Amino acid sequence: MVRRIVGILYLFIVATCILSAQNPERKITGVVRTVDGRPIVSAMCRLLNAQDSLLSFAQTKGDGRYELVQKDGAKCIEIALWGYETHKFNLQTNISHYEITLHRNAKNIHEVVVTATPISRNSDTLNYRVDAFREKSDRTISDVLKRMPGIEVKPSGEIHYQGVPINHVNIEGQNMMGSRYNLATETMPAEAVSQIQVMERNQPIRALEGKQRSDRATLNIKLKENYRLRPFGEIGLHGGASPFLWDNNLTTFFFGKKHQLLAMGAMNNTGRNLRTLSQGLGTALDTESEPLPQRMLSVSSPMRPPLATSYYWNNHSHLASLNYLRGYSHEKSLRANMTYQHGRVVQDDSAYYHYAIGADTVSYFQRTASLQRVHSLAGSIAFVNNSPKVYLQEVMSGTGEWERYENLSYTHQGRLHESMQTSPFTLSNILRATLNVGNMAYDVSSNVRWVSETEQLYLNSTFAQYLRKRNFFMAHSIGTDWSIGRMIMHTAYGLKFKNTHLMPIMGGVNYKSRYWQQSLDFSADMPLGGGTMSIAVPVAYLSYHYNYRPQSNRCFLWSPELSWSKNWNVNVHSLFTFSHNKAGNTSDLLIPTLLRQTYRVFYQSLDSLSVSRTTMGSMRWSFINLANMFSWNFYASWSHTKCDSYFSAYYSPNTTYATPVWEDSRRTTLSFQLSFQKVNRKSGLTLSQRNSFARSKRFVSQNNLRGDIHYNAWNMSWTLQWAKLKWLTADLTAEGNLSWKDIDVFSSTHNVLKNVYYQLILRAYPLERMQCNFTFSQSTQELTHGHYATNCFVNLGAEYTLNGRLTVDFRASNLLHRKTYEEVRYNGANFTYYALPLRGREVLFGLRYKF
Amino acid sequence: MRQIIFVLFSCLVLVGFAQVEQRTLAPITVYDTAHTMAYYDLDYRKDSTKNIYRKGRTILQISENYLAFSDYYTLLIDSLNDYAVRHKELEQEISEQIGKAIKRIEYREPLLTNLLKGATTFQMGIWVKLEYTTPTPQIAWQLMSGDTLVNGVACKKAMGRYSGRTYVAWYAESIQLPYGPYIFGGLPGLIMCIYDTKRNWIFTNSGIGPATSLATMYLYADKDREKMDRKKALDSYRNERENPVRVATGRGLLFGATPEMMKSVPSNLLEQEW
Repeated sequence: MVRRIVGILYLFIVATCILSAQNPERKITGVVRTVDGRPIVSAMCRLLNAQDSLLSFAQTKGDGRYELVQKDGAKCIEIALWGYETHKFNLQTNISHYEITLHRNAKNIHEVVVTATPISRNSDTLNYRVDAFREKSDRTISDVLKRMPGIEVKPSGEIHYQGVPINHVNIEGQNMMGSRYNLATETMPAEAVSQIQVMERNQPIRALEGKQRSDRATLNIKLKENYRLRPFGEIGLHGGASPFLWDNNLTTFFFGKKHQLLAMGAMNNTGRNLRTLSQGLGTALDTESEPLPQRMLSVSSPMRPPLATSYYWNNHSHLASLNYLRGYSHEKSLRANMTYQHGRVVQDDSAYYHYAIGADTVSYFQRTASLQRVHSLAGSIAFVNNSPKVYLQEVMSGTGEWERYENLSYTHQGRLHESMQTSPFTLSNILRATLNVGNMAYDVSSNVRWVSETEQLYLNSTFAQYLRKRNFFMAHSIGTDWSIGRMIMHTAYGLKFKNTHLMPIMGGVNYKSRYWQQSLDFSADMPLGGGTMSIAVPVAYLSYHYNYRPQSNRCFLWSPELSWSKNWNVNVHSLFTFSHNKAGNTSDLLIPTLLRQTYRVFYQSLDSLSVSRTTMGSMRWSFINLANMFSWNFYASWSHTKCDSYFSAYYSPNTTYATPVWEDSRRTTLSFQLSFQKVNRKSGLTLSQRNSFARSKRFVSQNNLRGDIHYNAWNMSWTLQWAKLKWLTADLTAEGNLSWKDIDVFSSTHNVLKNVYYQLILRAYPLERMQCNFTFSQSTQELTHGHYATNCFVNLGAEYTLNGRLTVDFRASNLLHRKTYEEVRYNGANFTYYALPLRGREVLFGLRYKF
Repeated sequence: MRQIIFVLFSCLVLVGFAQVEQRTLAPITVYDTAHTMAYYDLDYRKDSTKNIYRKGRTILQISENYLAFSDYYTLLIDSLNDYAVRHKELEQEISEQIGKAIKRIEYREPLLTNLLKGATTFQMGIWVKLEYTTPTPQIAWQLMSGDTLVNGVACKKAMGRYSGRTYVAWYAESIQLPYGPYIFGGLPGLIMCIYDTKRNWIFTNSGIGPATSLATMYLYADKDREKMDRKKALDSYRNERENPVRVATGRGLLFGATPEMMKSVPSNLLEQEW
C-alpha cells in the first residue's frame, strides 16, 4: 500500500516537472541605476507591443532589480519614474537581461500640478468648487453659476438645473430668501462662496422623502470659513455724466450659527432695473398657484426692446430690502423679509402699427412720452419646521403698491394726455402641514388671499374709466401619501373658492361672480422598466355663479397625466409626459360690460366660464458628464388646445375693439430645443450652444376676417468663452433668429424676417490688481424685406483694487453715442415698427469697498 | 444626560492636565524629506450599514526611498506645535489654530514605507499607541478596460483585492509614480482615485505638486508606543475603536463609566482581514 502511494507521488512529481519544462514562464530581468551607479527603487517597467499597448509591468525593488513576465508580441520596454528621463528600448533577440541607467529630469517634478476636483459627486449631490469656475471678472455668485455645467441662470435670476427650475436656494442649509433667492445670488460676492451643492431630484419636504417624488434640484450655498460668523458685503458709490448720474449700493450679509441676515440698499439713475430683484420667482414650496387678478386698465405701454434697460431707460430707482432668518435648530426656522421699491421712469418712443386684413390693411402711428411712478412695499413672515416626522410651514405676506402712469401722446386723434393710477393691496396666508406616520404621510394645506385694487383711467384730464376690484380666494386641501412596496400613492381632496366684485362705474352696479371647485386627486408613482412611472388622475367639479345672469355654469373637469422618468446612469436622465387637461378659466376677470382699457382700446371680457381642452406630450433628455464637464439638454413638446371661446379684434385708425366670441377655436404648437455646454479646463474654453424651433398654428379673427395662422420661429445661439491666459479672457456670443409664416387669409406673403446679434467681450488683466474690459455688440434686424436696421454699441470699463478691499472703477457705455433704436415686432398677422431714443454716451466713476 | 456629563468631566480632567503641562516638541523619528506631495480627499463610512460619510484630507509624501501617508491636519498640528514651542509669544494664537485643526482629523493610521527594504510600518491607536511592521503588501492588480478623467488627468482602471475588500483603482500613466494612498500602489502610474466596491473608503486625488511645506517624513517615537505583530496590533486597535470607553476605562484614562456607555460601536477599518 505504501509503495503504491510513493509510486503515485513519484509519477506526479515527474509529470509536473515535464509540464513545467514545456511551458516555462519566460522572464525579462534587469537592474535600473542612476548615473552614479545607485539603484533606483520603484521605477516603473512596462513591457509594450508594437502598438505601445501594455503587456505586463513591474516595479524595481530596493536593489534596483526588476522582473517582467515575457509575453508574445512584446517589442519594447519602457522604464520611467517621475524625476527621471523616461528610457525606452527595443527588445533584442536572445537577450533577457537589461541593465538601464536613468538620467535626472528635474523639470518633471514641477510640470504636473493638478488642481483640486472642480466637481465631485456624492450619491445624489453634486459639489461644485466655486474657485475652479470663478474668473477675476465675476463679482457675484450668480456670475459664477452661469459657468457651471448643468446650471442655467435666466435673465430674471431664476435658476434652472438640467432644464428644470430648482426648488429653492439654501444658504448654509437654511432657506432665508424663500422665492426671492435672486436677491441673494445676484448680490453675494463670489469670493465668499466655497462650494455650490446641487441636490438632484430633491424632495424639500423631509416628511415626504420616499413618499413623493421630485424632479427638481435644491441648491445649497456653502461659504468659506472666514465668511461665517462675521458680517461681510460691499459698499459702492458711483457718479458720472451726462447728465448727472449716480449708482450706489450697500449690501451686508451675516451668517451665524443661528442667525442669517441680508440687508441691501440700492439706488441708481443709470437705467438699471431694480424691480427684478424684488420680484418673487416661484419655488416648489409655494402652494400659491392662483394668479393675481389681471390689470384691466392701462395707458399705452411703452415699448420694451430686447436691450439692457441701461441703454434706454431714464429712471430714478431705489430699493431697500431686509431679510432675516432665526434658525432655532437645523429643522426649525423663522424668517422675515421686507422689500421697498421705488421707481420713476421716463421713456419716449414712436410706434407704427400695421394690421393685416387680407388685401386691406389698417395702420396708425403713435408718438408717446411716458412717465411711470411706482412705490411698492412687500413683507412676509414665515415659520418652517422641516423634520422627518413633521413639516409645518406658515407664511403671512402682504404687498401694497401705489402706481401712477402718465402719457403724452401724439396720435391720429391729435394730442392726447392719458393717466392711470392704481393701488393694489394684497394680504395672504399660507399654511401647510405634513405628518409622517410610518408608511403614510398626511398633508393639510390652506391658502387664503384677499386683493383690493382700484384702477382709474383719465383722458385729457377727464375721467374715462373706473374699475374697483375686490377678490377673495381660498384653497384648502387634505391628502395622504403612502407607500405599498415600491409604489408611492397620493390622494387628496381639495376645495377652492373665489369671490370677485367688480365695479366699473363709481357708485354703479357691483358685478359679482364666484366659483366653488371641489377636486379629488389621485396619483401613483411606481418603478417601471428601471425608471419611475407616474400616473395622476385629478377630477374636479366646478360651479360658477353670477349675480348678473341667472344661469350658472357647472362642469366636470379632469386632467389625467402619465409620465415616465429614468436615470439611465449617473449621466443621463429622461422624462416623458403625456396629459389631457380639461380646465376652466378661473383666472380671467368676468365682466359683462365694455371697458375702456386705453385711449383707443375697448375691451369686453368674457362674462362666464370658458372651458378648454389641451392634449400635450413632451420629452426631455438631459446629460451631464462631470469627468469631462459636458452637458446637454433636449426638449420636445407638442400641444393641441381646443377652447370654447376666442377674442375677435376690430382695428380702425382711431379705435381697437376686442370682444369675445363663443365658438370653438384651436391652437397647436410643436417645439424643439437642444442645448449643450462643454468646459475644457486644459484649453480654458467653454462652449455653449442653443438651438430652438417652434411652429404654432392658431386661430385669429380680426376685422371680420377669420383663419388659421401658421407661424414658425427658429433661434440659434453660440457662446464661446476663453480663459486660458491669466491676463486675458474673451467671450464671444452669436445669435440668429429667423421667423416666417405660411400664406394665409391675412397676408399673401411669407413675411420672412431675419435678425442677427453678436457680442464680443474682452477682459484684460495687465497688472495683478487691475482689470480692463471692452464690449462690442451689434444687432442687425430686418424691418421689412430687404430693409435692415443695425444697432451697434461699444462699452469700456476698468478697475483697480488698491488694497484688496477698495476698488476704483470707471465705465463708459454707448461710446459710439448711438441715439436711436429701431425694431419691428411681428405676431403672425400684424406688425409693429417702433423706434425709441437711447441714453447716449455716458461715463461713470466710482469706488467699491468690500468688508 | 449622564453620558454627556461623564465625558465632559473626563475631558475637563484631561484638559486640566494638558494646561498644566508645558508644550514640547512632538517626539518623532525623521526618515527623509519629501520631494513630491499628493493630496487625497477621503470619504469614509464609520458604520458600513449607514450611508453617512465623514470627510477628511490625507497626504502622500514621496521621496526617493520612502513613502509616508497620514492625515493632512495631523501633519499641520505637529508642525504648528513645533513652531509654537520655538515661538512661545505666538502660543495662544497657534493653540487656537491647533484647536480648529484637531476637529478635522479623520484618518488616524499614519504609515511609512521603506522602498529600499520593501517594508511598511503602521502606527495607530488613540488611548493605546501601537506599531507594527510588515513587508509592504503587494496587490495582484488586474488591468481593466475603462477610461475616465480625475482632476483633468486621463486615468485607466484596475481592480485588486486587499485585506478583505475588492478595490477599484483609477491610475494615471502620465504621472510616473507607481504609488497611491495608504499602501495602494504597484500600478503603472499614480493612483488618482481608489475605492472599495461597497464604497466604504474612497480616496480621491485633489492635488499633486512639489513638496514646499510639511515635507518632513516621520513616524512618532513615543516612549509608551507598543511594538507588536500585525495580528495583535490590529486586534487591539479594532477593540479600541469598537469599545473606546471600555478600553480607556481599562487603562485608567476614564472613570465612572456605566454599562450603558460601554456599548460597542462599529469600526469599519481599512484592514478587514489579518
